Amino acid sequence: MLKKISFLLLVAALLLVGCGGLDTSESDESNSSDDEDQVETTDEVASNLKINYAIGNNQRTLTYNQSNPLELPDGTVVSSGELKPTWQHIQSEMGFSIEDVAVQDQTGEEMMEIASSTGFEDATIYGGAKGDLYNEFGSKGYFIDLGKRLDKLPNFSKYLEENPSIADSITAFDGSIYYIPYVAEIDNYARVLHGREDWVVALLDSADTLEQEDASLDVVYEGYWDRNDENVVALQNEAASGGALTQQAALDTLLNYIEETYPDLDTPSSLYLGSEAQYDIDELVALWRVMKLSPNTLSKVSTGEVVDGAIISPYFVRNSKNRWDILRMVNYFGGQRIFGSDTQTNRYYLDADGNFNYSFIEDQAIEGFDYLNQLYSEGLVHSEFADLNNTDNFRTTFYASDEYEGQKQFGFMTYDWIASTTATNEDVIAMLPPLTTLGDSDEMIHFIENTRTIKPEGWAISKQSSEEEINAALQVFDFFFSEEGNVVQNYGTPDMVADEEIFTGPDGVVYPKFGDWIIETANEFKDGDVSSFLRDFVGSQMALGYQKEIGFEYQYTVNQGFESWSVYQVADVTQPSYNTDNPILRLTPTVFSLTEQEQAQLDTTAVGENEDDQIFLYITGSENGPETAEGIKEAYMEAGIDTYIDIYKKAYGRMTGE
Amino acid sequence: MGGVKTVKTNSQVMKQTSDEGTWSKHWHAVKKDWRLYVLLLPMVLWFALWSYKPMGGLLIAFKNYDAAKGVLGSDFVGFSNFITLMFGTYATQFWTAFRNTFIISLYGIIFGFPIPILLALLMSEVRHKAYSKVMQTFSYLPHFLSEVTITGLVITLVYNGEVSTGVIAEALISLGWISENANIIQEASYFRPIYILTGIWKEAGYSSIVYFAAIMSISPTLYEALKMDGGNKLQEIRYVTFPGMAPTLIIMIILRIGKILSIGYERIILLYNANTYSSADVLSTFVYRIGLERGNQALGASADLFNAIIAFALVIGANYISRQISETSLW
Repeated sequence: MLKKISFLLLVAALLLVGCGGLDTSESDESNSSDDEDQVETTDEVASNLKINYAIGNNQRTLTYNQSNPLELPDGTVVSSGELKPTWQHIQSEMGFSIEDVAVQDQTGEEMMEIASSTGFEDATIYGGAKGDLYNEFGSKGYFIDLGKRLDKLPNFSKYLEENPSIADSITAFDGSIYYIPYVAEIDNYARVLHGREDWVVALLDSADTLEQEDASLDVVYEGYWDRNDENVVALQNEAASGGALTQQAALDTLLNYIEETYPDLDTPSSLYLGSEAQYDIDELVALWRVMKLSPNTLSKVSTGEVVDGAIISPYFVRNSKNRWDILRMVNYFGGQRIFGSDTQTNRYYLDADGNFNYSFIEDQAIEGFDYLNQLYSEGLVHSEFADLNNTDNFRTTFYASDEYEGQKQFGFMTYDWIASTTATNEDVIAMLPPLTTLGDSDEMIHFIENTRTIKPEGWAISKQSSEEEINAALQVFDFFFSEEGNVVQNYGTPDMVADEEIFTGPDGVVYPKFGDWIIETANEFKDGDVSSFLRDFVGSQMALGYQKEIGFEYQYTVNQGFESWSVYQVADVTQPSYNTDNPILRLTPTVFSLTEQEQAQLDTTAVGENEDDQIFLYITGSENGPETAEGIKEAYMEAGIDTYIDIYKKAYGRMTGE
Repeated sequence: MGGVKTVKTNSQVMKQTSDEGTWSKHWHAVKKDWRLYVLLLPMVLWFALWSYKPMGGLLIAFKNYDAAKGVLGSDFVGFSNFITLMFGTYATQFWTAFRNTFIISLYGIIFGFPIPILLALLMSEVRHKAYSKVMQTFSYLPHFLSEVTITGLVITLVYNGEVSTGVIAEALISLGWISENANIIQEASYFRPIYILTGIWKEAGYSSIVYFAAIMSISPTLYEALKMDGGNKLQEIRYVTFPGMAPTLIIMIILRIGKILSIGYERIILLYNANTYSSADVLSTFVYRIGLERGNQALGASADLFNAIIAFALVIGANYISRQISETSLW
């Protein structure tokens, strides 16, 4: 009997499966983009707008999720569960209510996955995901084509006219615009190289500060450039006894070299510091070696006394998640591009002839990884930079912890944002990047690959919404490109901005000025981190469709921050741009729009983290990684990189009309 | 054939009568114990909704899955996902994960399976009740700690970084078992021992409950009889305890074999890194990466379906072997 009952249950369950509504969405035919033209238009606006803005962090949604209530400048109090002040302000400006329907901890990708299976019906605006998803689902008919609604987006429309490169970047393969991106401060410097100024001066400009040093290092790297009569790395290698270099030998060699090669310098440190710096990667490596060998001297410079067992990391990254920043040094071995845009996943760049390439498999990049492996083995790169089990903030440890009892780790150079990095230590300042050639030119230039770009994140409007809801959403979208909306999103609500006061940036441009309330409250709740305060408490500066303004960042720049900006601006360091005739300097898009067939083809390739890991395994000399740098390329080839490149090449060609 | 009269044979009539009789018997049984069946109903529904209904989702293994089109609406691609997985660009990763799943599970059975039994035997021999209860409770506790806490603790204990060295790493260095620069959490050869030992520490106590219960259910008269025959403690274990536990042991081993390809991904994901993928990446972590991180659910589902089929075959096989050699089996 039991057998029969079990059988019946199984049959019932299978029937349930068969009838169980697996097909959770209607056919996409009903959503075809042609329908949009047939919609009866109206100027009516809905009384309530549902926004699903998911960013994987409940602190950064539209809802105020802090345990402490926030008292605003006008005395009103915002409590947990309410809309953040910026969104309450927008609500009152728009004249309709805004409802945050996001699952507060959900990521943008999770949100899109779930919303797509229910036909994007639970909200009018979807935000927080990356543009490729909006393009993918937009082309399937789930998001409205903003390009056809530009009459209702006058400010955004004007913005696109003024910035045609942005219009090109966000246009999907079918010619539609499905989302508005978060646009950073285009053509401004982003992350740059920083170093401890006092260390360079202490080592190179005066013998008085030097302490007795016993360390030695085994030289491996042999130098890259031959632009001067002699190569300083080769000279240091010659000075190494049996391959082991001492501090005295390394320092003497470097100082003699500087004196002979650059006789006109005021001080040896001027080779590295200020806007007149003119060092190349070999000269930087020579300096790193001296630093690695001077733990006693440098720990005394930073703490006032020699720290027993101090460890110097000449180059480090902010944390292991940013391990990619080590690869940026490859730029300086002959100008090989690594990241095509400001995102770690974008490795597409154009060479001097305008050919579309994937940087990680280029011969010069592979050679660069070899050099990095050599620098790592000499101990010039922080030993734990790629250890994902270590979640420490190395920037805090290496720059901001000098005064702590028992502090033994000190770092010299990193690649990071000016305002936040110079804030960590008053001796840290931006340093010009090493000189390198770039593309076909033999001219040695200062080149920094990181720049501010169109970000991949943005927001879009569901086509399932009523025309009134769409109108309300368009109104909000456009508001952020109006003068008032731009201030609200960049600096906070009007009562948070100083009355009749302006801020003049180091670039000479005037910006709205933060009121005292912002600074004081950011100090109280976020240790002075205005950026996080605005995002987590106020609801401004969020990664949704708006143009970010650099004036915000200038205003929380401290210590040597302004001098750092100046170093780069005076030297006019070359950086990639959307608007350049030189292909090798042209930014590639952060978002590519793929057709359904291309997406399916892409799914047959395995290019991903596994292949990227091979690079770091090789650099760190792991026995689990490839034995030679060529092995990195082989791993990508095995994963189908050729197909992968072809797909993106086609997509790029479509986007640029080439 | 209108003029032909259909005549039922005797056997047909008897079968029909017998069928009617069986159904009637079933109905009477249900009617008689309807309260029990009502109690069973939620469990049946639970299985139907959460174990059988989701099986329909396996279809995506044969589809070019698109969430917006749904499972049925997505394009059918046959075995294409399986081919990509096993012979295409993912082949190396997939077979490495497959191999690791087997090896780690096998290690788990060899080293992890006997420990709870041993623990139960030891506990059952402790005569001081209060002491025994305290010890048992302590041995259960790690089971209730989250994997994040456990792995965080393990990493701290074995980490050997630039300035911080965990207690276990320090001890191993002092004993000369590892070199001063060895960071064992970053070395593939240490991953499996770390994983297995962590698992034993976390689950041995809790898993011993079932064996302890089996031991407790053995009739004391059997022990007394053996004692009267002059049997010692080891003979008690060999001739009374083990035979008494045998059905439980066999069922547990069959269940364990069924899960040989179902290693949970949480602890591995929290412990592994690029350096240890070669010995740590298992099918569940592979599926997690492909299906969730890369968003290729169809490929993830194919890997999982393949996994499930092998696991199913293993359970059937283990059950068959068990039935042949011990007369104890799941069905």
